[in-house]
Amino acid sequence: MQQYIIRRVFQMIPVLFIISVVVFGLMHLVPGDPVAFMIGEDAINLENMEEMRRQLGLDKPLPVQYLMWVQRAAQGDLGRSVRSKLPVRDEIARRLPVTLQLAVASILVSVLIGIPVGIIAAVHRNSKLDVIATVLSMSGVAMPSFWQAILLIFLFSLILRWLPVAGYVNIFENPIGGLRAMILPAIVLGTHQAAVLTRQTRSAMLEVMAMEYIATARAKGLAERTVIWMHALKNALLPVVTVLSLQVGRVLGGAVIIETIFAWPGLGRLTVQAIAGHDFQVVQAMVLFAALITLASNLMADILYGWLDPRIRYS
Amino acid sequence: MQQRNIALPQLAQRQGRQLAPEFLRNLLKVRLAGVGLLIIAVLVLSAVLADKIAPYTPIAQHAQDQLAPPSSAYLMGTDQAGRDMLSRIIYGAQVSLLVGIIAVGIAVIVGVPLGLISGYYGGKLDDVIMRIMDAVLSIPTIILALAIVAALGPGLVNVMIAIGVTSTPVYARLVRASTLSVRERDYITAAKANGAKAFRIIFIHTWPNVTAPIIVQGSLGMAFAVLAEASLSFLGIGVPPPTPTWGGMLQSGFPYLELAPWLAMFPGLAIFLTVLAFNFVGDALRDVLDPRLGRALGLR
Repeated sequence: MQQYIIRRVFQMIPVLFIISVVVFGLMHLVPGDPVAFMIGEDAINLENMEEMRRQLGLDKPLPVQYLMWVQRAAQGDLGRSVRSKLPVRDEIARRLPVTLQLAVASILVSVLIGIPVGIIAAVHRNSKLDVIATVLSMSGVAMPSFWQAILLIFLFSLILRWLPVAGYVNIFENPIGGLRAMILPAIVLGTHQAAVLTRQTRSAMLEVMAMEYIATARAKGLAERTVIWMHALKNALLPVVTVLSLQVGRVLGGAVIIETIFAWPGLGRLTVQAIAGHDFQVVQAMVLFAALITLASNLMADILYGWLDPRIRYS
Repeated sequence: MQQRNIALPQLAQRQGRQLAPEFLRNLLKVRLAGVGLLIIAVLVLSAVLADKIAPYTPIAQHAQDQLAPPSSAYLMGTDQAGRDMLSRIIYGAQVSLLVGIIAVGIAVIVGVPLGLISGYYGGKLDDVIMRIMDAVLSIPTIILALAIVAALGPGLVNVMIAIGVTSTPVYARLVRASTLSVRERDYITAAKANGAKAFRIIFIHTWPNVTAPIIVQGSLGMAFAVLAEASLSFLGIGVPPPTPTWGGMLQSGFPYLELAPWLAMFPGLAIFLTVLAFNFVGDALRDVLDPRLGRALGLR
């Protein structure tokens, strides 16, 4: 197992290398002079720009610049934000807890909805319940998250006035306010993931329910409830756990939209603001960070899979 | 966004050569496929005939009718600039469909040859191509698309490129998997024995036998592209105004949610129905082109 993990980490290296080239190349496609953006329009004079270019290493050939960038990034130095003048690393660290809170809450919502609904749909296959679950999950997948957010804000914040329209409240400083502010964002991001999870759980359950050991469990007279919850679910959860780990990366993508609508100062909003403000060091860092998180969660999925299912041997 | 799911390799085997009317009849037998096709037909008609059926031009500002609620004069109301929402939604269909078609086209044109080459040759080349695809896939779609648009600058064409690039790996992987199974078939061995060159084997013998999963993915990919374009435009980083886009209409209508909720309702509904329709048709195509797979996934 340990050997497998080490090998998997090594396999990530070429992918990481390609990602770094893509990210670096992408930001050098940007038309215009990055130095001009950094200095700002009022302070442009040629001497300043030359000086700054030398300082930043922008006078060197591209491959050298790339190596310098990788070296710094590997040491955790991701450059400085043009907007805030703060190191990008600090900007990310400051906003990470906000996005993390959204991620945990939304994954919780998706599990609490997706898995039970998927089980019910599979157990009552082809019944009305199954059709309703299928239509709901298809709608959930097709529903643009920003539209769902707008509809929920309209109903719960503007008409019923139960929840705040937008804004982030630190849940540790103000638990009730934090929870109220979190409900809508978590539901929007969570139900979208729940739709995917429902379909996955349903098909995994159907597959397992056709197995012989399920027939055996029934034949020896176990209650249907025991068969479903003890025998079937345990085995059906394997692929579901994988889907769940893969969601971590998707949540980060979804946070871009959710945080923009609900004005949450997290990583997603940071990305959008950085793009709108031509803050390319931040954009670069965010793309890299998102890719790293995704790769790490994929690795986690593989490891979890082997840990949960002893039949899988890594050799 | 769920479109990163990849169908299984065996898809190609059951493709068969069905006649068009028979194919359509089979497709319509699948639940909800008819609904999907109907919605798509309405969309295509709206997009093509926009200047004939739209009651107003999409940028005409009726100064005395700003934020007018839906009425007989303006069926879907007007926005903050007094522009007719129905007309803007009809013209918005043009952008959505165009972005979808071109983006899927880019993904297919780039991804399919990569998958064919990767699957047919294997070895080092396969490794390199697939690691590049892994790298692209590991960046969350919306973030990658945003970064590409940021790098290339906003605009219709760049949005198409961004969505096309982010969708490419799905096709490459799909086609590679199908190619791996087709490669071992007797008719490929026979072609090789006949002295056919690699190019001929790949494009004449292999390509037609891996099209079924591409058609399925193409429909699901349209759904994804429409959603992605709407997301980018909603974030203000997609197709710039005054071009009417559904995502952009939602964005500019959002601040008026309490005052004029119709501004957010109709564009959202348009996006939702379009994405739903392409998903319905994609699922139905999968069932028809490969009945075994539909059952294995428990879709029916």
